[in-house]
Amino acid sequence: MSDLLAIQNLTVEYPVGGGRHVHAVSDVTLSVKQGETLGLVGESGSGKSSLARALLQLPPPKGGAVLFEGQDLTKLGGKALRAVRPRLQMIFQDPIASLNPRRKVAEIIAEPLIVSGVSDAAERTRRVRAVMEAVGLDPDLVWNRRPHEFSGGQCQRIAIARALVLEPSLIVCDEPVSALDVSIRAQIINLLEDMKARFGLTLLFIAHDLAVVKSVSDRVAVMYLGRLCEVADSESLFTTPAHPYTAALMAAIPEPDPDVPLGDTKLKPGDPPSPLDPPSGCRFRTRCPHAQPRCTDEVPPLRQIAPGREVACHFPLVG
Amino acid sequence: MSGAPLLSVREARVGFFTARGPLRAVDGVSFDLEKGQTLGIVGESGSGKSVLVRSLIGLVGESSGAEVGGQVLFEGRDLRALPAREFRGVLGRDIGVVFQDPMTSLNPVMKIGHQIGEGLRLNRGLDARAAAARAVELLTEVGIPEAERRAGQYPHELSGGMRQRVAIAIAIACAPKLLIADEPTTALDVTVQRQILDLLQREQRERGMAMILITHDLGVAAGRADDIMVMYAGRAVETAKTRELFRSPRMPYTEALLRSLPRLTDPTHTRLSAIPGRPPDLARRSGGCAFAPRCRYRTDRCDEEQPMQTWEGARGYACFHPRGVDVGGSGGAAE
Repeated sequence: MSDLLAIQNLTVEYPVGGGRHVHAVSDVTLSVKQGETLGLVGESGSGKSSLARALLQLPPPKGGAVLFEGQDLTKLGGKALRAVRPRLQMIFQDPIASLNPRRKVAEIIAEPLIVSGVSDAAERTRRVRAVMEAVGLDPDLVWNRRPHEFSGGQCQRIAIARALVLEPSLIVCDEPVSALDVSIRAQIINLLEDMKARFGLTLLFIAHDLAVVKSVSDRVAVMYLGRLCEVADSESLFTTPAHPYTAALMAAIPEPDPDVPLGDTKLKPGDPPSPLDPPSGCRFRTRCPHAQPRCTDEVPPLRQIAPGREVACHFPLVG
Repeated sequence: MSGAPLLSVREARVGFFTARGPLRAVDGVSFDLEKGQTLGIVGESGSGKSVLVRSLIGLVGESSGAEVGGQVLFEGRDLRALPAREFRGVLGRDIGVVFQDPMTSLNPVMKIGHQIGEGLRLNRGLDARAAAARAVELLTEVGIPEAERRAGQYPHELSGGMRQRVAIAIAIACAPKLLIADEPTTALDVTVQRQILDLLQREQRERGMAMILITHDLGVAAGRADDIMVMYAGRAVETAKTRELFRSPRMPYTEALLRSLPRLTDPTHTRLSAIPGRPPDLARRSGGCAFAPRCRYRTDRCDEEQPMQTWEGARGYACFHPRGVDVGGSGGAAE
């Protein structure tokens, strides 16, 4: 499998006044293979959403390269970037906020076609109808309705249809089910899996719900305070986490089974530090149960510990 | 389980008048909570779980345009019949509340030490000095380092997890007999969530408090609750000991919800068994079981008649076709 997307040394910083910066993403190198789902996990402030937006050039990152289908998006200008955009789509967390409330559903889904220059109205109608049917919306019922007439789950279907209508190769899904009710989540996860198979999609799936991530991802990348901790195939990551932060995340999962004993996160007490002023060396060291003096002095590089497994830790739990 | 329960709620009802007509947000919910026990109330948005609990403590009532009915007995006294002054006394001393978002429940312009001490001064008669000292002790107890310095800070100077610890310190300051936690960790990250739930459980055990834990997350309820009440469209559809609920749910909604969850033990790309449809619009409710349109065991009777709570000991459910019960095959005869 070749890489559809290769992120190299990506750095995202936001100025917050007084010459200070939020170090949202620091030197992240990560690739997404053609046809896979890569899960991206991390807590708030870990930089996962910043990373997603930076690779779509919304806005462009401060440093690094984003190679998509062989082109470096950070080097592309307006017109060339617009030509690539149809292949790269995004689905957001809040489906209601991400849809224009004044537009009809058909207009919302047709908009990307107009922007990308599909000028034949009949062709647009045909494609909008086809994609509505694909996501389980009845075109005759929803065509002239507006987003407020729909529930969160239905709005997420509309957002998925809008992302699919340009026949993208990669969809970035940023917490696509977090805002949905528990009884609706499985519907949308199944829909994403179906669409992926039907249209040969590659997904970057960002979420904080680890059971959801495990369910959809072939590989998973874990971020903490702007840096990658670990990248591995789903099964290995969840059964034998190598980074102490991954292990803490796994232990903290509240499992819907009263017979599964609560795991021990082994975390040092305290909250995650601020990305405004991340700790030196390993950013996890202030909460890490295994931290040594070396972790303060040296940033652990992401290194391979087994085929397909990378970890950024001086003292990994496996390997 | 000796004597009367700490809290006994009978046929609680809350109705709102909306632009689209009246709606029953809570429709005849009854439960008991024993001293020192934890009741998890689980439901989706709109299930009525928060409105129910807020109506018990008077946060939802006539003044907020709601119509409230039913009986709420706390230590045998009907809270709804108490004069306002006595009701406030019970709330201040005996019932503590932790809300989902500490940024909105804390006073942004009052130092946190002062906020913690406020209840002690009003309800326990401590003077300012003693209340301030106790506030620092409470901050230490809920795991806030450098408590003395933190007591002089404002909520915005703390992280989300720290703020929720402060909110817990306020809630337990007067040593309440009942702690109500309404989605206390929903706004928090998973590792912080874990710490806050551990803290709540520790405080509850050490102080022998009873707790109502409201959550949409079955995982959170599974690890912390002795009993669980599942709500759907304003009604309690199933009440059971936590293990029984997860092992053999009676109500098809509970069963469907548990089946729809992704499991860490399943391989990647395992197809989830989704529940079709969505929760009903409460302003457009017809007779019959609210879950019927989404239920795989639905029969004509479910559309026409509202199932009443059936009790087998402490276990209750509202369904004509309960799972795991031999009812002469009618459960299996569904289409």
